[in-house]
Amino acid sequence: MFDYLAWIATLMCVYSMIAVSLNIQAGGAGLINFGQVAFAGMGGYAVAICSRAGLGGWTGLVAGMAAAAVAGYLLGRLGRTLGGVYWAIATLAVAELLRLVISNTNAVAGGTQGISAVAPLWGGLDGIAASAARLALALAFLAASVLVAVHVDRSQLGRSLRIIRENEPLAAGLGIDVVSAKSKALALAGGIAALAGGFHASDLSFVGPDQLLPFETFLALTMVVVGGLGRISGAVAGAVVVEALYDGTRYFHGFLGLANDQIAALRILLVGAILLGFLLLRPNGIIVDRPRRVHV
Amino acid sequence: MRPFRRRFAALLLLASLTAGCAETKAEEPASKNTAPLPSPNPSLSGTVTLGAVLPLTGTSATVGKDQQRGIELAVAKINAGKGVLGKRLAVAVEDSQGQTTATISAARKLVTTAKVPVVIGEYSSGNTIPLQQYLQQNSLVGINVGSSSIELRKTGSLQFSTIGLDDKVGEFSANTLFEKGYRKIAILAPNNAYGTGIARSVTDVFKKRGGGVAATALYTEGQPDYRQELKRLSGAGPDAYVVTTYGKDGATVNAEMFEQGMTKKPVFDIYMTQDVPDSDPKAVEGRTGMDVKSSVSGSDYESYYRRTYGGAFITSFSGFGYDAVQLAALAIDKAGTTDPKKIAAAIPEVARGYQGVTGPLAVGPDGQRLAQPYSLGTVRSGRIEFR
Amino acid sequence: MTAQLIADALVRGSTIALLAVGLTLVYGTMRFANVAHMEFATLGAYATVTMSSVFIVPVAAATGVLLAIALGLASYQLVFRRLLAKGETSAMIGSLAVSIVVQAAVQLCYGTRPREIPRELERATSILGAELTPSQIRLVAVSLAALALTGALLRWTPLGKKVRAVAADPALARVSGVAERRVIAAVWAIAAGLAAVSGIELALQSSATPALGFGLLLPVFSAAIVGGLGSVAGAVIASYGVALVESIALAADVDGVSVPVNYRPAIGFVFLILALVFRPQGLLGVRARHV
Repeated sequence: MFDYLAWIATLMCVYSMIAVSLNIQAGGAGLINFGQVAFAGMGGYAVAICSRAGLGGWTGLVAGMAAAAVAGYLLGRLGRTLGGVYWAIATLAVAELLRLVISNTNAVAGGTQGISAVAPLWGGLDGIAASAARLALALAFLAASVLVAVHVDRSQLGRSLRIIRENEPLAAGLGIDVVSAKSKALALAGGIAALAGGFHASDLSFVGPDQLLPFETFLALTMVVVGGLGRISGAVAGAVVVEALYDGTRYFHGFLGLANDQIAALRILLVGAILLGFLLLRPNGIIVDRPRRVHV
Repeated sequence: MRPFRRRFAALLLLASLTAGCAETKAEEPASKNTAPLPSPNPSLSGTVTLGAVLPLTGTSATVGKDQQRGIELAVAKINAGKGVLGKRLAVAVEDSQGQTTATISAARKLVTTAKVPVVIGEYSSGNTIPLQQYLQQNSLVGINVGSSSIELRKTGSLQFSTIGLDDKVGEFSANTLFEKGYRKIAILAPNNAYGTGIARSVTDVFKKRGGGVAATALYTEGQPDYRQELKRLSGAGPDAYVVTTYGKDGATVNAEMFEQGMTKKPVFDIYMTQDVPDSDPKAVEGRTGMDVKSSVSGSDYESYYRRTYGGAFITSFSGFGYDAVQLAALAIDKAGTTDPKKIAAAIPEVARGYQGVTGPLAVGPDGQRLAQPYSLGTVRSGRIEFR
Repeated sequence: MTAQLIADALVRGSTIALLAVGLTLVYGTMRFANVAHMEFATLGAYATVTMSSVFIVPVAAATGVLLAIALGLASYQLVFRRLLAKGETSAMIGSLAVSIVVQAAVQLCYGTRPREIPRELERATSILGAELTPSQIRLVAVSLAALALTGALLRWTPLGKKVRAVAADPALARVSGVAERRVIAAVWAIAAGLAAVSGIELALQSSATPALGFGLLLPVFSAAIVGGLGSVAGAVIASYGVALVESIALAADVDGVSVPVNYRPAIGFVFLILALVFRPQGLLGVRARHV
């Protein structure tokens, strides 16, 4: 039983990290990243490739985070002339391009077959010890991510990002280097997402291009909106709630007398409806908004 | 907008939704005469539980349903007989949703809460490989009933398959093609673990026999049309086309091959029951192909299936599920225990010389079937006639 | 060979153009990037599938288009209008949610197995050196006719002039007395209608699946952005342009080096990314320092 609960908790940690990353982008800087899954995917594939090449999972983790940070930085520079929908569609295109290239590259990335037998990060442990180690590591990574996010939130960078989010021309007028701020935020967010993805790859012992589909980004967006755009605790809460709902409904088949084909659709519909509901009715998320303390 | 119009709009949306659903329900054929499963032997007491992870939802839901049927039929048959170790057999089925993460989740649930010694599944190689690796890591027996990637040879000493792997399919098909006199073929397969494996094994064997592969096209699934891929193949001027498709893509590919006049040349269809039933009869008329033997009509298993579900096989995969359960039950009986390592040791012994509904189940040292019988078929008036 | 390239581009371009035009019209008048726009194509196709069990195909298709238009108007009134009131970003994310919900709803009702609109399978015929099936010819003809009709509507009718006025400057248009509500309704009707035509023709080519529309999301957005969001003419040119580039890139064979067919979607993406880097306002968009 512990093993199973630890697994669910670990999964929630992974999603929380991805939500925190997305929150830095969307909640912090107003950047809607439709290609979020690509950051996580980079981490996952880096770990898998390094594991297969015998370099070890930790090397892969560092490499993946670095790659995602660079990618985030470059996407930030793309934001120089792009805003809103243009940037969102561009990120979606980049993510789909990555998935396409990976699907067709058999040599290093395993193509559509993916890469399996990825070694766990916590060495050769067994049974309960392995589950505990896995959960401990996940929690540690999540804590680190949250710390980074909080630090950014309270720093000069965070303040600049908030102004950019509310009124970009004003930010530029105030002398803030908008592009630089966005790029830094994206680099950090990319790193966090890659950390999550890399950990998840070693946890699952498998990566495949199916893990890079846009639906994953959609789930992450729902988590951030449900939790409340801009609140780090919201991102974590949203991740827990949405993940519980999405995975919890797996046990519904048999109750409702629907065909199995339809249960899958119902669960997706539920998540979509929740996102819509929150956007329309409770855009501040489930966590009640507290006024921010102003440092004059 | 005034409230009246808004309500009207909402009503319209609701009406469309119910109309769509109602129409679909009306189209489902009324269930034909079905017989109940054989009733269990009352002298059995206690339960032995095995696990299964199948794609009950998602794009492969049809196959998952059929695999489940095979398992159901085997469990009923065994329980009507002497059970397993004098107890009733039960197989707890979990949904993999066709996704790797959910597959592992489902496996974990089975392993930690139901404490099963054997897990049967899945369908897609991309899911079965990680599943078996996970099971191996936890010292449990896994039996693959749907995937055919040759990577499955390496998943571990406790891992087995009741379905023959791609190299067998490739070998059989390539030999058949060569013996028909074709020397230059063009191959079409989906760009996934399944398709790339088939393409590779057909190519390897065909070339070894002295033939040549003029072109290979691996199509990305889920596109609205495949004319470009097909043009690449027809442009290479082969003696025959070798195709393997399934789902919506199968129907699309077959229709477009007809439209482009490619069906004027011989077409060989690998795993033909996966795509022929869904295709326009005009498009597939006269093509030849192969499939696994359990899809052949006239066997006892086929009548058992037909009686219970009121129709013919929906895919070729129910037989593998059936065989997997039978094999596991025999192995547990032989080992006298539900200890996974002992079950794994017993499986090769009981498999040797055992005739499953999909053919001889004898396995080699890597846990994979040594022989997988296939049948050749031809399509006439939209139906496959197996020889 | 060239004829075949052009023929292929016409077929693919037509599908994209019908969708891109609607998308760009809606953005032009409402500054709303509707990610769910492609679902009108899916809904139109499925409505036709259902109706074709009662009516003959052309009538079924007409009802499909009408239903899509009705749903377009309803969705604006009930959902999109409220989302837009919260802001462009909420609207865009919300439209993504609507898109997912529609796909799930369609899957719930119709299942994941593809559904066919009854049609006869025909062999391709040779026209001016290009091989096309009769249904492909019809697709191009119907699409061009629909686009021409839309163009004429926008250019020469009073309604069309009002649409263009609102697209150019909504505030000024309102002050000048343009009935904004009617314009918005007209724009949604045109957008959804064209999308439905595209979806129905696409379903006639292969079959209807829940992801029919979503699969075209990126090519359509690419075309609309490359053409300049808000410019109908730009969307049309970019749609056929991207399709032509795709055909050429796939047919190109330089010393045995050719683009693998699997990379077909990548061509559109690269096009889009390059366009966004070098000319984000698109071909016919107004030059702006920041879009």
